[in-house]
Amino acid sequence: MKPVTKNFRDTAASTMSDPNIQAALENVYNNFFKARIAAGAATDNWEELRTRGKAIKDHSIANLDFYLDMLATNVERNGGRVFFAKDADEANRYVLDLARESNVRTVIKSKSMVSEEMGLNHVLTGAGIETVETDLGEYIIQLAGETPYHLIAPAIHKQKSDVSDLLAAKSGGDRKEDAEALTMQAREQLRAVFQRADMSITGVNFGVAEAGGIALVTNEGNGRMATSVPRIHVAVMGMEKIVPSIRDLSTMLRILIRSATGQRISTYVTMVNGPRRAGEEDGPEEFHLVIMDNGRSKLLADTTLRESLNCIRCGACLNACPVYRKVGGHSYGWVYPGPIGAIVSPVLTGLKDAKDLPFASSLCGACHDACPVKINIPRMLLELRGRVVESDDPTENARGRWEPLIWKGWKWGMMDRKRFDRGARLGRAAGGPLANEGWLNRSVPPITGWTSSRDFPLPAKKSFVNRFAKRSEETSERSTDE
Amino acid sequence: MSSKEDFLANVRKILGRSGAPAPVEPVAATGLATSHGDARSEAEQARTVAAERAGELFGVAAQAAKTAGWTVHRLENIDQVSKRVIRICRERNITSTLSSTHDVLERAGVSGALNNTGIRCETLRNDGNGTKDAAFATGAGITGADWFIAETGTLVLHPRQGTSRLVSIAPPVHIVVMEQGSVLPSLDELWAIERASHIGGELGSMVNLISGPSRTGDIEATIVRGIHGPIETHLIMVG
Repeated sequence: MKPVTKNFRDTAASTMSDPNIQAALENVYNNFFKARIAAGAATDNWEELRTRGKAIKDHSIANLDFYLDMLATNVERNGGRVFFAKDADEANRYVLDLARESNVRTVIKSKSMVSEEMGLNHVLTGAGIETVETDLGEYIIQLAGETPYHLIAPAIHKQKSDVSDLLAAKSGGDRKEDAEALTMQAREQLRAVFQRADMSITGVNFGVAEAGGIALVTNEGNGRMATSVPRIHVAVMGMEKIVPSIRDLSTMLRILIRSATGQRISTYVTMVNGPRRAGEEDGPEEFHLVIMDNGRSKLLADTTLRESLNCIRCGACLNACPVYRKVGGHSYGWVYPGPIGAIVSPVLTGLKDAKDLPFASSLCGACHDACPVKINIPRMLLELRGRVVESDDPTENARGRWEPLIWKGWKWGMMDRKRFDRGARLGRAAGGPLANEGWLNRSVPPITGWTSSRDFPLPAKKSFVNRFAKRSEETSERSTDE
Repeated sequence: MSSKEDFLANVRKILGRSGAPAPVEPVAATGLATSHGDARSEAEQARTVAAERAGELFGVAAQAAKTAGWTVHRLENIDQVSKRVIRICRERNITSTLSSTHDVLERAGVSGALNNTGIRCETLRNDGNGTKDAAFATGAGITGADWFIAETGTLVLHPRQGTSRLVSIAPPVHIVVMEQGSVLPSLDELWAIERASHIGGELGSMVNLISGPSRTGDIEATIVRGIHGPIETHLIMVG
């Protein structure tokens, strides 16, 4: 997927003025956010689980070479094949070559953010291979020609009437109205695709190193279909999505699912340990695991940002974020939206173009509180803000030309009493004609960008220093009188 | 193309390790820190708990199953099972079913009883043809329970000969028959058992956890049942 992170301001502005999307974004708060809070409160050892989850992820990432090797060796021992891809191009080429060699005509996809990152649908479709998303939300946005809006609810911004139009167009004019009928319509459409699929592509919630297996979490059952019907199953994972032991699934599933939807468990949890074995009734004959770097080694090398690799993609930080809940998922301009996206996207796609993302936060810390593995997101957002203005790396530094001059002038003015007073008087004189009942609440060129979203009071007629000086005089007069 | 060696060498370099790859000491938080011997006795303990607390866990499981969306049927003894399965099928005009070879189903005589009443029941057998078409065409899939988890209301199935993957996901109705003794308290016990299986070289190609009917919330966050998998899931609890 091509990043459009530099369009943050425009997309955010248009999202905020769209009442339909704003109404849809309320669901993020009313459903997911509240459900997570309730689920955490109902779990006796919630904090202990988070602490253990963090320890498991910290350890896995700190020893990533060891556990990736273990995972790959064990997948092969189970009869699967592993491909290590340096970037999205290599991963795409592997999947495409495999599909061609195996005469694949239809690919079904179960939800995978990594495949979004790869732009895999585009590659396969371009090669004439029918590629169908089967998670209902993903299916809807595929029909709409869009990208996911949320990590676990990709079509959260779509209204029922949009879905109705899209599904009707697919099956030829039959327009359904309520969510139930629409779901059944999609069920019919997708069952036919499941039955003819030759290959499936799924994501990976957890790669389990010791077992050489993967765990998949879904509510719809499309992950189950994808791992049962086609003759080839390809799982794609970012290299950080790993845990050492089968036992770790107890901890990780509990925190992932509660944080994502507030459920105690999702309807389906599927652990796949390679292709079907002799004597089994059904299941893919081939299992391929694609492990992708695609910039993650930059995060690994960056010890201040490495913690972001602990992310298990539950979406809790999005739901908790007052900024995400207003600007929506598309504003972030790449696969990963919200607070965690504001860290990952700039590093994976280039900070210069994504310079607005680390600033798209009030640093309130809600994301840090929400994170099941306690990732300190605000700390890293601050770090990236620093890099935007101070980095020596030209691919990171996106400081404006005038900004350093303005701050230099500000410092010069603040260092001297007289200069400060004169500046305040000048500000009042210059701002006076633009003010509205004592407030500067319109855009003031040439600092439009700064003033358009901020209201300032005019400097007072009499400054604090003036009034204080006068008051001191009066007090001292009074005390001499006594 | 980068090879596994290049890829891992790069990660190793970034992590500041030099020389040959060395084994890692797992931290206490991960299950890998538990030795194989201890892992085996933990699994043994889990099985003991399931047996010793069978009655109590059965009750907890029934409650959790309801919360997870299962339709729970409690029966006194195994002779009543076939009748209940037939009733479920009749009420839904189901004329054909697909059944796994779980022992409890054979003891309850489910397949014979269904066929005798005119409801077709095909039992899974590995004839190399696969059961895909049958699974998509049939009205209900019928299985036993390899395990059930009281914490979450979760059925556990290990696909193998006689238990296909599709029997529990493709048909619109899934009927499960379960007796006392197969309920584990929580996910902890399940993964302890699965890990011990792995250590013993007996972990199969798939572990399926199923907690009620298939569902989605992707249209305006309204929860709807049965997007891909079963629309109804019935849990018949015997004893």
